[in-house]
Amino acid sequence: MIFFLLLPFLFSIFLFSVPISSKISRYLSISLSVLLIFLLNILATPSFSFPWEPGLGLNFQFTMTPFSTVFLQLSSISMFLMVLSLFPQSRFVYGLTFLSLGAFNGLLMAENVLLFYLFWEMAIIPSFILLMGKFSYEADKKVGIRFLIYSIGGGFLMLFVLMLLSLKLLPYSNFDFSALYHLSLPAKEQLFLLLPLGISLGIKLPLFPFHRWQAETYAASPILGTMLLAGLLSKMGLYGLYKIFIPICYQGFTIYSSLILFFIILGGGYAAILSLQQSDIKKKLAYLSMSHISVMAAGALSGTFPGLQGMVLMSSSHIFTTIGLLWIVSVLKRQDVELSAISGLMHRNGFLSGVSFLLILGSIAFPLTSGFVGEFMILWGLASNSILLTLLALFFALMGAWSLLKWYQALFFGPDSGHQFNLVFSDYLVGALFVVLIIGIGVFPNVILDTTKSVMLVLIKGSMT
Amino acid sequence: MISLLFLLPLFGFIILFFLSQKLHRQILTLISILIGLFTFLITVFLFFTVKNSITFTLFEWFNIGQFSVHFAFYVDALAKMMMMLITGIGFLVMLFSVGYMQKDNRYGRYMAYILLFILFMLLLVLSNNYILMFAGWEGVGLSSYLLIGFWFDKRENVEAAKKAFLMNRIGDIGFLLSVTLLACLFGTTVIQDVLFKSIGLDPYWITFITLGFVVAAIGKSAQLPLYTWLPDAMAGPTPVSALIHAATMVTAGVYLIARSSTLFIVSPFANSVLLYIGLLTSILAGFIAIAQKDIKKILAFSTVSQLGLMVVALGLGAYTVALFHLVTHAFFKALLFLGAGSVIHGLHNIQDISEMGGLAKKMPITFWTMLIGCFSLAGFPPLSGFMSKDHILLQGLSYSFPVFLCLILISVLTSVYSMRLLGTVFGGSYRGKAVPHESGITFFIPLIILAIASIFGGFLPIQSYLGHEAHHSLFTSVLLGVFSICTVLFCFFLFWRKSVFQDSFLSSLFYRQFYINQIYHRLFVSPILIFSIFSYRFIEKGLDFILLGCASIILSIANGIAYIQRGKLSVALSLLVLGVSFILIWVILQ
Repeated sequence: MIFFLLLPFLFSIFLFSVPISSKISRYLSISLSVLLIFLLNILATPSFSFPWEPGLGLNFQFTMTPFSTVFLQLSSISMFLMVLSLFPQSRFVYGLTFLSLGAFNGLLMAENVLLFYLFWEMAIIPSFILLMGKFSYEADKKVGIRFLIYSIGGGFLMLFVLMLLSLKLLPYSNFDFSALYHLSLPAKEQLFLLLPLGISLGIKLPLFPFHRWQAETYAASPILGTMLLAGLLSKMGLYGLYKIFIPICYQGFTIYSSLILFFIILGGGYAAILSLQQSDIKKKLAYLSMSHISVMAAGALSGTFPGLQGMVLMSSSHIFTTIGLLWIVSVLKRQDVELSAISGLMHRNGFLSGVSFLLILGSIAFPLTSGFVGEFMILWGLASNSILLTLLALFFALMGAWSLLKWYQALFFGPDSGHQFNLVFSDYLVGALFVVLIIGIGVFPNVILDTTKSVMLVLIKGSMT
Repeated sequence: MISLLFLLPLFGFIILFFLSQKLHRQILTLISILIGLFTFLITVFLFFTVKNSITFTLFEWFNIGQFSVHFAFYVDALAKMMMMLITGIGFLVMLFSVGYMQKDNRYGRYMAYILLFILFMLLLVLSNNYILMFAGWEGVGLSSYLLIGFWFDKRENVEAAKKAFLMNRIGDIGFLLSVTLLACLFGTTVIQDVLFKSIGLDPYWITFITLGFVVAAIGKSAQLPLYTWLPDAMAGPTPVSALIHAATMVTAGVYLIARSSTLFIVSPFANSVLLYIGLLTSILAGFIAIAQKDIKKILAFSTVSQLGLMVVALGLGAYTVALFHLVTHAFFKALLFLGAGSVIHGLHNIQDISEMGGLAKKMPITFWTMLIGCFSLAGFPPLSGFMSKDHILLQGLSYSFPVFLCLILISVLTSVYSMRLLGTVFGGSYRGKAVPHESGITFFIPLIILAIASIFGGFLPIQSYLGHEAHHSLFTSVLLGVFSICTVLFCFFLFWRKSVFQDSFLSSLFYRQFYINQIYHRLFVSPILIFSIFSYRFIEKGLDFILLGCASIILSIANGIAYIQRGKLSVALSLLVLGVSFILIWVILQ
């Protein structure tokens, strides 16, 4: 299991140091991600640790929980799809992407506060370099700096919280999460942690009003960077909710839970409505993604079993629908035409329009596609808090559907504008994989749900009592 | 057997969808017709072999702790009846489409979508739990979306499709809300379990749940205030309008409520909501139908009005009566739409009735079948439309007299618009320019079969089959029959010779559908779009401003410190003096 950490890191070092062509580095990246997909099923050892600083009792402690198993698998699959779906890029781009993947995997397995923080910060830096790597526009630089400030600000708040918690543990601390969970702070102290931790996660997720880095960053990043940020790294915030927020300060949270849940759902709705009138598709997807993430966060914070399970399922669906839609955008941008000049793509591009329609169905939680069951579970989780939350979430989901259909109809329906996008073999493969994944998760969601069932029950028992 | 019922259309959909460009047209026709026929035959087989109510379970879809949802199907009398209706009319419509869509180069896709629709509609009526039913419910909405926007190069078709999809999803909010509540309260969404457990529960929550279902039915069955998508949905091919927007999909709302009737019996409030929504919709749509000029729009509003009648019957608690009308309406309205399709085909895509007239001689078979359809719709005894409407009227009479009067008004309106349609299209003299011709054999078979069903459908023992038959006095029935004959014949002779196209204030108000579309646009659509722009321009920028504010405060502090560090002697000296004097003062004060 340490391979999930080491292989991406070593591979990225290899890519940085050895000058190979972009085509070869693409093939190598594809093979590595395939290897990672299969490694999980072969070499699944539950935990791994070696000493770091024996004086403190500090260890490099990694554990494989069911939650991380699911997400490790998803991250490897999505890495495969990301690399396969795009044309060859420079080896540095792949190197940075794998660096980010390694950090993400490390975060999923870190059982130690220091390691957790290390990976938390590390995962974002490659995206920043990818974004700044373009250096072409002055405006993009501003966007990059804003992204960095938000991320570092959120990171410092996270560090602050983790330090406070670790101080509580001294002098017996080995900074393990298990020790942290045994703290059981009184509700008043939890309340004190709520604000910095909430803002830190709110930036990462992002939630209203800490989302201002997101839309512009998504729009300015190269497409692989956007896929990485929107598909994978946006799940870090959800993982933070699961790993730190709910186990440590849920008691304090319950004092204001209904208020905060309303705020999160309203923020998500605000993002959905914002996405309606965005002309830049990447910004539109950014706001839509924000609205979906808000719903997932609300589901997790509802503190119910269906809500948490729904969060897992919906975020797995979200990974694929987001990467898929960004892939469609990348295909459309291969030809140097303004998207606003395109219409009636369905006349000549049957495969592309079919797959994008299915991706949209998955994204708007159409039954029997990947989004539905997760969203239904979250709605249920919200209903056990207040039925009004469910109603609002449903209403805003309608806005999201409107927004996506509007985009789809503008491009794919209407009179034929004569554009034809020639697909290569890998495009057909990626498209078919998306179809399989979206319908597969939609019809057999139990594959994911059964894996995380036990750990969610433990979480609920642990944090609610 | 039951999985074959789903696999067959699915298989057909996949083949036709992916090979529509590759295969020859005749092979496509053969595949689609055979699959349509076999689906129907399986249904007939199930209809006669399955005696009692049976549940078939395939596999588990998902679970949340104890709560689990299966791919499971429940077959009882109601489901069997709906199955027969769906596959039977589905098959006839496919047969009709062979001729109607002959020249379309996406013929294979069209047939694929129809099979997809049949698949989802079967899922809707057969599923044993509400969540799986919702999958079918959304699925028929999807196929309807694909078929309304089938000719997608025209923007208005696409807009109509989007409108239908999204307005249906407004209704779906109600559906999902109710299902979520059911899951929370009962811990199950299996329909039979829910109905069983509902008896002892707090009526407060039951009312909530039923109201959610009412909202869902309003969306799907095109009732006030969500009916406006149905007239626009006529942008799709006409056989689609016959199958989806007249006979089957739009009746899904009625089916949902009839299926959950046990819940509705507990909640009188939801029943009266249904009753009044149905009455209002039916009257409003009846008035609008009188002034329409597009042959399909007339039929669309007539459908809205007839669905309103079914909803009234549901509100009166007469579920079997509502289902009886559902069946007879499916017969004659499918017949009318297909007949309209034949007319449109014969006139080379002209839909405006002011350009028709005198077609009785030129298209005799279409004329006679349409005549049967119109008389049945208008409630001419003993055609099927009369038999079912008669029951609704009698139910209304036993409920209250004002309701009965409203129902009489609705049936008079029905006679007026159906006879106006018949008279202006087939009576008088021909007013158009295109040369009309009678359609081919694939058109006639469905038309004649449906005409026969429209004549004798009223004698089907549907109410007793579903297990509940209301008995009414023969005298009132006869009285109503005589009344119907008089109004229908009066309207027939009124409109047969002279076609009426007057422009008055009222008729233009009806023609413009009371401006409801425009009002909705101003009231709901525009504000959301404006808010979207507003928030991007102002709220988002405001958040930026706050961040920039923080940054500029830090910058100005930094500038201040930088000023000290510039190495100017005078500044350094004055700071030195300031510092020393500060220390001195502090020491002295100590």
